[in-house]
Amino acid sequence: MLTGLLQQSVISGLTTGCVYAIVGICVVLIFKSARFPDFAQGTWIVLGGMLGASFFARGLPLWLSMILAVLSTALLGAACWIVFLHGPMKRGMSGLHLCMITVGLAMGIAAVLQMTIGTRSMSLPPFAKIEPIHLSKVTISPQAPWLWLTLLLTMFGLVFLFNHTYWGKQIRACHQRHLGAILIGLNPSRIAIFIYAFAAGLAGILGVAMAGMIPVVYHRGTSLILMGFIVYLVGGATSLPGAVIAGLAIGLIESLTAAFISTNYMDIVPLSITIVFLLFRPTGLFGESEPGEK
Amino acid sequence: MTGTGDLYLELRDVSKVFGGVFAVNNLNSNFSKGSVTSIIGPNGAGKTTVLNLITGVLPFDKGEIFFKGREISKLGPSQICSLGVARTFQDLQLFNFLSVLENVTVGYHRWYRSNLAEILLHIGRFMKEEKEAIDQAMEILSLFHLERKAFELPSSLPLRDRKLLGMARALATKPELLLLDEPVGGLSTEEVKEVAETILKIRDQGVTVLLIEHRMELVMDTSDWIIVLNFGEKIAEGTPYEIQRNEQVINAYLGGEAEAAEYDN
Amino acid sequence: MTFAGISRSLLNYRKLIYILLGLVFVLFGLLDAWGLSSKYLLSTMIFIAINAIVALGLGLLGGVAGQISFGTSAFYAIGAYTSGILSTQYNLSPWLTMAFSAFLAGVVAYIIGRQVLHLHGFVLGVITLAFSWILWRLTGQLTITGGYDGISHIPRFAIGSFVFTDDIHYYFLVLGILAILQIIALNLEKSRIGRDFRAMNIYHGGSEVAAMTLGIRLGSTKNLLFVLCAVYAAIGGSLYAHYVSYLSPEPFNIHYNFILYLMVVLGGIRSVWGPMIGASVYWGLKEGITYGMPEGVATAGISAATEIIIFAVLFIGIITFLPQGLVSVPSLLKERHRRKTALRHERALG
Repeated sequence: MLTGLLQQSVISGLTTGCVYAIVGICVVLIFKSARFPDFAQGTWIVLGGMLGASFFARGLPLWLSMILAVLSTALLGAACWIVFLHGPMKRGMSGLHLCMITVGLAMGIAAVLQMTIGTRSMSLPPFAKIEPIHLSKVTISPQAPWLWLTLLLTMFGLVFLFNHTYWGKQIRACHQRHLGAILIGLNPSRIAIFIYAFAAGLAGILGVAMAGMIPVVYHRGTSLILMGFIVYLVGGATSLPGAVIAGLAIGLIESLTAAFISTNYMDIVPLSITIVFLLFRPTGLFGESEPGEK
Repeated sequence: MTGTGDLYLELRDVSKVFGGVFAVNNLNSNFSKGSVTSIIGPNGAGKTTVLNLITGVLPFDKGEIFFKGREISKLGPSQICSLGVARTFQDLQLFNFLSVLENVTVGYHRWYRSNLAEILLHIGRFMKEEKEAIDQAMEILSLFHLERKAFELPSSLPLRDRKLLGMARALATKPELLLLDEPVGGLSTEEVKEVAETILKIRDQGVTVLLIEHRMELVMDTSDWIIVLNFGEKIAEGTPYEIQRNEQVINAYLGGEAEAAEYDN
Repeated sequence: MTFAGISRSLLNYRKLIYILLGLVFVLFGLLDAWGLSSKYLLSTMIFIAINAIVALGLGLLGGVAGQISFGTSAFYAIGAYTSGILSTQYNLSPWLTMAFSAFLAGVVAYIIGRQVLHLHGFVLGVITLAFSWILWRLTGQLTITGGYDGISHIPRFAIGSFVFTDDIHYYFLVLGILAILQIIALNLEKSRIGRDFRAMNIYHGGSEVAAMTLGIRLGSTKNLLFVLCAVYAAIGGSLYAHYVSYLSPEPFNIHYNFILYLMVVLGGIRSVWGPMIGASVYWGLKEGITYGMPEGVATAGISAATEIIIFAVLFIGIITFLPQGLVSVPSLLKERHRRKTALRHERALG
């Protein structure tokens, strides 16, 4: 009986871990390009899920709702970047202040969601109308594999993007040698907008995928972004594989805590463990000597 | 073991590695009390690294440093300061939003005796010590002819004054040993002469001075003893007269500065 | 014009303005005592004063010292709940509970500070934020804190037989404590500790390396302010608990940290008066707007959301357009006036 519980929690832990890993990836992307932490990613996730659910509730087919939701989130993200962050960043505003602006954005948009949608939660049906999968001792919810798939696609997609496409190489060039990139004709500001839209879109995808499994509430963004930051740090700051491993690990810890200790402590225990870990190893698992700037 | 020092400040087999390269390699020397000793060498010779090691800003990879017979290699910067060692920085590191006077006063802070309660309530020794600190700071500022600029911010001072401010601030800690990191970079010949005079005045007040510099006029005008570094290693040491005529030193400098060869004593 | 130069010349009439500010608070109390205001207004003023206390602690730590910390809401919670528990379950007098919760918060802050304060920037921020999150969740989980039902019937302060049941009495009590804490904060800033902090503040032209080599012990100095911030937050929390007499987990969420930061930055991040000004403006604005909303619209959710939107607008606005806060307005105006007259002189001279 116990092993059944163990296996079940491992599966659901990995699923949660996928969520955290993807949030962590979003954080890494922004940190790598803009060099400051972005609090708003959590809100983009929630927004993506809610937009998807709203479109679907209005009768649009599932696939269309999802695509529209993701695009809208990406566009809104880009718009917020241009309006609120682009100017100050050019004027040399410090990373700490830029982060604070994203805090304002995140809380503000969440408040707008609270006003319009209220405290009710929204959800989408799972991507495919299949029953929960029953393996030997384990039940897998129908949406879970889609989340795993999302993570895998994201990972491979990013590897492909950064290493094998022209766009990706531009992005890396801008990150490594800002001035040099300008000299060879690249436009770092435009690339920064693109990256932010990309990250917001990725968050939107996550939101839409999550909505098929867990109902989305307006305030979920805060805990998600906190986890994203934790994953980013534990993974070793700006390390993409680190973020993935850290995300999965923390998801596992959370789910094991829920199963074997108590669901009431399922966020407290992983957070405490990671705090202690970071105190002993602030550079994380795969950290280099250059931690993120704030 | 070379040098005529009396082991006031002693470096033994000191080494520091940065990314696989020896910034400082097995450095041995000692300095005597009351002297002005200079460490010279081309750029990148490891001079500032030595300073950072002595003052506890960087950790060692190998070796020990002794001050007045006591090992200070494992101590942190604030502890080393309390032993009577003070320093300036090549890039100044001034407190840019404190006034000139406040910058210097901060150096005096280590002599305060008032406790927290006295500070929070502005009672007891607090007022007396504040006044003392300001008086001391103004005295030091007048040594550098900066007293009239006491309430200005460092950013509004010319480079020479900012460099002097760094020295004044370090002197406020009432050190026995003063380490100066390239104090005259970017100054005119006139200004360099003034700084040289000030350094000698400081020495006459009983402070031992260790000077890192690669402008030879200052070094020749003030030093009792010179140590020459290249690629982190000591290649020569001796009196200014000896160093001027040292083949190896001249060769080491030929790539960068020919001043040493041309300087006429 | 240098900041130091300006502040010297403005110092005299700035002091006047601050004394006036203090008088305004006192005056309000008198007006209320004479029946010239409303219960709602008085309650708002009390909340402003309580928040000013908590923000003051953060202002010293985050502003003067430039030390990042999102742990203030945790200490606010510790203060509130300790007071609540001790006074309801052990029948201790509120004075004792406040003293004890301040002490407890200080001890916890000291222990945590030693572990955490040598870290910098983002790591420090996330760890303190996680700490606040954990504490917030604990208030809802532990039986001792009453879980989601919280603690009720927390008594008011009393001196002898005089109980501060009337809000107006409570207002003056809080104001008195705020005044004492403000004076202590001002004294601290004008002392060697204040100078040490401004010297160490890497976000405002300071240099930690130089400070160390001049004998300043970074660790203990940072920890001092961290502890002080926690103590102020706990005192604020305690006053809050004894005022509303009922505690539940919601007000202690991590967003409160950011609202506190808004109050500090809105007033002026480098000024010791900033938090008080920021608390007044933010709280006054938000209560004013939600009070003015038409009846049908103002459900609990909508007003809570509106408050956050006001927060977001102010926060983004201040950081983008007026990063030095409201206290910098007089000097900015003076600078603009000076430049205009200089330009006019130039043009006149041809």
